[in-house]
Amino acid sequence: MDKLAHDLRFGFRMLVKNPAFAIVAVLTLALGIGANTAIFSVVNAALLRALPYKDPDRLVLLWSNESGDDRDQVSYTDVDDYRTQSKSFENLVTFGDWSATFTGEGDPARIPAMQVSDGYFSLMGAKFALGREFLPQEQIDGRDQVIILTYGLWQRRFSGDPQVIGKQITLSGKPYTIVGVTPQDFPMLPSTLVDGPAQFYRPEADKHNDKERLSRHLRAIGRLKPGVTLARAQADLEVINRRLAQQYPDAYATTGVRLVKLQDDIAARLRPALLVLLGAIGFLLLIACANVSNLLLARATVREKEIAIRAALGASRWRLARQALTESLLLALCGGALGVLLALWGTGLVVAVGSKVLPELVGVTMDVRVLAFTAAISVLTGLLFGLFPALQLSTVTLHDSLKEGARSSGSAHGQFRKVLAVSEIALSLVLLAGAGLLLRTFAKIRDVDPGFRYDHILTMDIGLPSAKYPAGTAKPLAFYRELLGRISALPGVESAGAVSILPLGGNFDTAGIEPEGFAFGPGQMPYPERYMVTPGYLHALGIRLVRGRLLTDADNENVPLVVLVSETAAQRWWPNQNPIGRHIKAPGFDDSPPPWRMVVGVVQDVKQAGLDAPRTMQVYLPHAQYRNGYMTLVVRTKSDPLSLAGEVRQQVRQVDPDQAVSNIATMDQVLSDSIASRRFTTVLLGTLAALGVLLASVGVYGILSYGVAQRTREIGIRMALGAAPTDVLSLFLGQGLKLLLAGVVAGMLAALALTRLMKGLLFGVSASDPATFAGIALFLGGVALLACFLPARAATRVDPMVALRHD
Amino acid sequence: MIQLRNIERLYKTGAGATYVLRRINLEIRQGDFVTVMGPSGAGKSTLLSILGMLDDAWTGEYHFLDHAVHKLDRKKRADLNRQYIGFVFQSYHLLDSLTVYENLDVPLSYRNISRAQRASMVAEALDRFQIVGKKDLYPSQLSGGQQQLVGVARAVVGNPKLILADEPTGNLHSSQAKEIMELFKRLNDQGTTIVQVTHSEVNAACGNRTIQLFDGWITNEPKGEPNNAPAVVGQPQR
Repeated sequence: MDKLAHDLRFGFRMLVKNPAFAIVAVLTLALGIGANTAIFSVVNAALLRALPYKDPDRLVLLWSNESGDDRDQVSYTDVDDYRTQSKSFENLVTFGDWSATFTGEGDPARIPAMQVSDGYFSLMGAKFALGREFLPQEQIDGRDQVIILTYGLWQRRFSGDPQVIGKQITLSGKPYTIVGVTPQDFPMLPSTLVDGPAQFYRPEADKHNDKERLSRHLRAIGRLKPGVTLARAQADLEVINRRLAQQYPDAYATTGVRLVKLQDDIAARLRPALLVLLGAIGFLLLIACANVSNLLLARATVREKEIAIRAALGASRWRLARQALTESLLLALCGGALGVLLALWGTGLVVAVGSKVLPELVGVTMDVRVLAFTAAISVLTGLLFGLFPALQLSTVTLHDSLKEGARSSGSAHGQFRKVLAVSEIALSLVLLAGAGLLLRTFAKIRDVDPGFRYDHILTMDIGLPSAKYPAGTAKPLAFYRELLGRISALPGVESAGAVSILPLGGNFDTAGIEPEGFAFGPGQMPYPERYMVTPGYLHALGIRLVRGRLLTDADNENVPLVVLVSETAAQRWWPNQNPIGRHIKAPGFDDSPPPWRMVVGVVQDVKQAGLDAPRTMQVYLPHAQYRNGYMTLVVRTKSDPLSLAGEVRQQVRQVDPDQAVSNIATMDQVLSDSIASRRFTTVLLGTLAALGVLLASVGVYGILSYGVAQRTREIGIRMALGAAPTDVLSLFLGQGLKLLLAGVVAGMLAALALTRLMKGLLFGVSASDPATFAGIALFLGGVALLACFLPARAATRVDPMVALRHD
Repeated sequence: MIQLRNIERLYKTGAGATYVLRRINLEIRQGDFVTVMGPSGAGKSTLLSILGMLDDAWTGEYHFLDHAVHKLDRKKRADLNRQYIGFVFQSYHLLDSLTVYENLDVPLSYRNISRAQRASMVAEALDRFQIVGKKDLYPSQLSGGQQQLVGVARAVVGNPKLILADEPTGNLHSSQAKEIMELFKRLNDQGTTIVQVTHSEVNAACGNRTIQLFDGWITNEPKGEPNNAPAVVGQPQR
């Protein structure tokens, strides 16, 4: 212990004695360790941190797997059958997104909510702050007008009124009774499962109905019985699924069932991107290590004599190596401590950029796990960068080092330094390749034609309460006709319309469609995207007509039913034929048999699920022939769309003072939000790559500068022998170029091998995209060349007289 | 061959300026073997550096062959150095990472000479100095005397008209020193002009003139001819 304390004291003194060295080394390490800590904080929050639910290991999600997607939603009837027939679950419940307009308590406001089936709260382990859970009898349509408030909404909207239980409020025009308030710490389900942070809950009033087996619009969460494994529960469900497939081939012939642990489901969505980022920060740390290792080697050369004297005075090799390693660890720990401070700032930055993508990031803190990680990588880093210099110091040759005027032979140092330079270039190239591919992917996605014009478009959601505006009646139609007429008359508005589901808005609505002349087997019916639109919608978004005609005000409730289909749908159903005048069966707003609708036009495809999503089939039904209440307004403006938001909102109030609007956004924002996740990964990886290139350039510069300093005498001799400055420049530049070339080749090979792992993150660009690789090689080559050029130019300025007296 | 008029060299220091050479007037004829002597700090090596055009920061006039060196820029001076001058150093200053052969090739590589011709010139020098057998050895594998032999071979490989030697035997024992000095004598006999700096009277005896420097001044110039005119200084030794 005494020896360790002595080593630490001496190490500290050595750092204080060489402040420039210490500052550069600690800053370099702090950058590397800080970036690692910041990204690990995110990984910890997203993947590793225990979920804030009771016994989270037993929580599982139940998905149907259909058409290759293993994360399809389920119907209430599916889940009801699985729950009653399986012996694996303590409980299995459904949940889904909902929202409603709050009226009567301040301004009307549309508030996100969840509908949950019987037993949801006990399954999640909630102990109520006030009131109770929903009762089984409240899960029945007509008796389901009860709600449970979240603690936050209770505080905000009801000022924490302790008498709130039993109070009646109006939601979307219907009276609801408050029966409970969740505890303050009741956790939300993660954003990968619900649209927005629910602020209240209502019962899921669906009931077991064989006709509704295909109405798969819900999600299901279950709690396994103690001791039941996931595999056993999965096998259990598969048996039930096979039995159901025999009974209901239409509903289960191509639809299986899949159980996944809640933690794994969340992780699966984030893991690819986070693993790429983890790899990237690993590389960044290696570059930082290479830099500091080089600094230590340079210092080791200067300290050879000191070490030789210590050895001559009896220090063993182990003792010398330990002293050197202690100094390295001291540096690493200082770097780690500063890194934590940098990470505090960096994590804030990551959260600011990423919270839209990953709401769970809000409130990310550096917990014990993160700090333990930082401490571990600090120690590991210290060992990594300190090991070779320590070994070198411990093998100093006494005789050579103690000779007066002796020059350090240091050929092993020289070779190792070259390896460091090549490694740094290679590592930064791999980082750049990853960032470059993501950047190209991002650019490719931005270049994708969404099928509509997204500039100068204002959007907002309106959810007409079904109590006041029953779907299928003239009331919602009249509301939207009057509203759109008012909005269209506003100065600054070019056109206005409404659509049931906004493209790229994060939602979708598909419906089973039967085109004329087709007979589908069980599970083969196509499910295109279905849009209910007003005539102005297609004009406002600029969706191009390909054939036939667009919808008009004449396509109303009094004329035969019509429909528009997208190019892909027309091509799929009637290839090389005229689709105009053909008919399709599309379901209406109720359970009545789907009526035939005549195709009157073909419009271009739009991107619904994402700019990077494959083309889908789409059908457009006139709102006047469907008359649903939940629509999104789409307003094309002449100037900044948001400047008209207030006036549009005002028009809504004038048509119905109780009606709220929500999700006010420009279409630019909608489109931008649809690629926020990719932007997040690209920005993070790009930042790490930039840091990597910076560190690598500084490292290469340092290595070559040190080489020039070491070879001052040689430069002097060469100049005395007739070398012109250009000869000296080309000598050092040539050496730098060799390192650069080796680094680029090694980096290219490594990048080719590693970028394959990020295929899932790429779009429109291959993992070995030649243009990206050539571009980053040129970029890195340019930067590294500059890093080589500066020391080489310094070499030409060596005064031969001074150099020859160097001895 | 060389005419120096009022050459002065000073170093600026924090305390002011320190003169290293003062009003040096000197003429060296083709075929001379001049020895520069003086105590440490007298300015011997600086004078040699100026003659070798390694130093630019002097004032005065320097004529080398038909060239007014003081009017030339750094690049042209370097050209003169490459074409006419060879250096021999006290510490040999061989390049540690190059073999004997490669060390001899270095000065030639800075001239516009083809690879084949360079190979032939190096081979001739190796042969002339009888070090063919050592051509693939590194400096660290040679004795001090052998290293200096290579140093001299490197200085003459390009057939310079002038050899500047800065204490060429300073690190050698007497028998090795004698060999090197005999080598210089032979080169001088063959027409090469040599200027050497030495502390050794024995070595000085090999030359035909000696210049004494003290505190930057030439101290053994003829009386009545202070440094206001070009002077042939030093006395023939034999």
